[in-house]
Amino acid sequence: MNAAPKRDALERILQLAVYLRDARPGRTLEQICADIPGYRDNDWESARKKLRRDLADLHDHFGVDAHFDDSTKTYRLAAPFFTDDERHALIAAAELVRIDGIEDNPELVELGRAVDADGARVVVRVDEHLLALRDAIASRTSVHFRYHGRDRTIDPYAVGLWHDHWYVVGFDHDRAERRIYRLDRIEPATPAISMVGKAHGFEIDADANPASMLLVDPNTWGRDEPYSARILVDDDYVSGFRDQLGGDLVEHVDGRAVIALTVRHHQYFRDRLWFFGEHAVVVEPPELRALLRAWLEELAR
Amino acid sequence: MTLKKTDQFRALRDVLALAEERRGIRLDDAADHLGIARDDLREALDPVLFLEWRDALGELIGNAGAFILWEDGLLQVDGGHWLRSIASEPPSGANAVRLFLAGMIARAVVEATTPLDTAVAKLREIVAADVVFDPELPRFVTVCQAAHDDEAVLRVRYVSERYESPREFTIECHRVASKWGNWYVMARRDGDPEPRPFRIDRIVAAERTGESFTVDPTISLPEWFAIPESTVTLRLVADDLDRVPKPNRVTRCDELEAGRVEVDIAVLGEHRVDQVLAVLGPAAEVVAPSDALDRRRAFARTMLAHYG
Repeated sequence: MNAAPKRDALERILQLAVYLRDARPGRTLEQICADIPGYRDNDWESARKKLRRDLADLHDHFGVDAHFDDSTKTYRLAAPFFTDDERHALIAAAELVRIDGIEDNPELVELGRAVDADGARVVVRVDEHLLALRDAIASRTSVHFRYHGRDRTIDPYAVGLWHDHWYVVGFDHDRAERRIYRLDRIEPATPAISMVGKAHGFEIDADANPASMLLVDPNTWGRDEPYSARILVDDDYVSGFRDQLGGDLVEHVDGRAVIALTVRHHQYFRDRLWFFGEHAVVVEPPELRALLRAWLEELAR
Repeated sequence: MTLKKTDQFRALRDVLALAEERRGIRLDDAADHLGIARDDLREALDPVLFLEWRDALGELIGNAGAFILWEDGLLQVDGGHWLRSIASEPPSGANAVRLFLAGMIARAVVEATTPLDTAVAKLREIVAADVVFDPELPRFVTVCQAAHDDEAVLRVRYVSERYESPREFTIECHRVASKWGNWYVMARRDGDPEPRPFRIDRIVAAERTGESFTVDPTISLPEWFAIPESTVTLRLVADDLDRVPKPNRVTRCDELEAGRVEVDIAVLGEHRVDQVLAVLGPAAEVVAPSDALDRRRAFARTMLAHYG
């Protein structure tokens, strides 16, 4: 149990912090003892031990690190992680944006955790599995989860957001290939994601770019026969269409926009196209129209 | 009662955080927040309210440590605050992710600044080797926000999934906010006293009418939208579940033979049932509701008229 502190202890530690802040590149124990009253009346060894304890408190409670430089026999503060301006910018960001879905230690000492989040203009909900997967990626630990009724074990490489859904990409042990899984499809369990195997159990190519691994857009990586398509889209739906499928507005015909895009994943294109019903109709090429017609004929039976 | 050492440190660091991040906090409120007695907190803060020290000869060395001001019961951090600013430890893993996401979104919503850019870059080093996140804004977010700031009425053209044709009406933008992946403006439409949420990505045109209104700061985005759900029951190949279009969700999934599953899909809004059925296609066996098969056929026949 901790003893009740004298006011002097906290005062001494704060004095030490500000003293070292202003005394870069550092100060010797002798200088500290001379300048800070709390160390003044101790013998050298007692002062050294007291200083060590105080530096440990500074680290543990305030995240302030100081280290001893053996070459100069001085104590010096480590550089701050954020500048004042950076810290203020992040506090403003934390005021503006509330992130829901990350359950962690709500210690106020953590930057941005003491803001009044009621005034947040943006509320973003991240997937509940994001942190568990991020930790697994950081520690290079394989994970297990249930997905569409099957057990999956993967070496997770990256997690990311695309079109409002979070995904994880990783090497699937059973399928022996890289796969992408949607986090909201992971089946509930306790825990839903469990680490398996040892930490540092796999490697990620140092040159690998997470963004390129998470090419979630099927029209980017699709391997179907590519079609240069032209789609007639009602003006009011152009923005929504391009949000979903991309493409370029190339002209207007009879008061409707013509969007040009290359279709590389037929199923994905078809699935998204039906969102727009009669407001978006493929006019070229005939091969793509034939594919859509065949699908609709089967659907109409 | 004097606080124990650990509690004293915690009280100081938490009050520092509250005072800095809320631009001040009353001593009573801080004591409530921390769950300790007001007098204990006051005593714990003594060293930072009146920090000074003297050299061996009694000369004042400085009082640079006194970084908390206490006036009229309000605790504030002054410009010389330094204790948090010398922290060298990076944010913890979870908080680093939180700050990174908040910082990235803030850069997209408000004008990016150099400090925010460099702070996000530092956080990226911690988390973004693994987390890919690049927020995008609907094109009329800034227009709605500016109309809110200037209290200017907008005439908008709005595409709703429920109606065949876009509609035009005026809105008073009382609050612009993003929630659950979509941007909304809480607005009074055509002067209607009841504010309603409108999805900003469905606004396809907007211009100011020249009229003005007074922002009601009490209007906020509801915690939840009461949109009626329909349930569709289908049997399909398990891998096809990834194709269920958002925002609809699978609420039951029972495994069948040969990689097939029977699922209940909660469809948000009756109007989206046709979409779900069309997307999952002819290989999805319709179990319920009884009219779903007819709806799917009707959608297909309507579309076939364009692909004949």
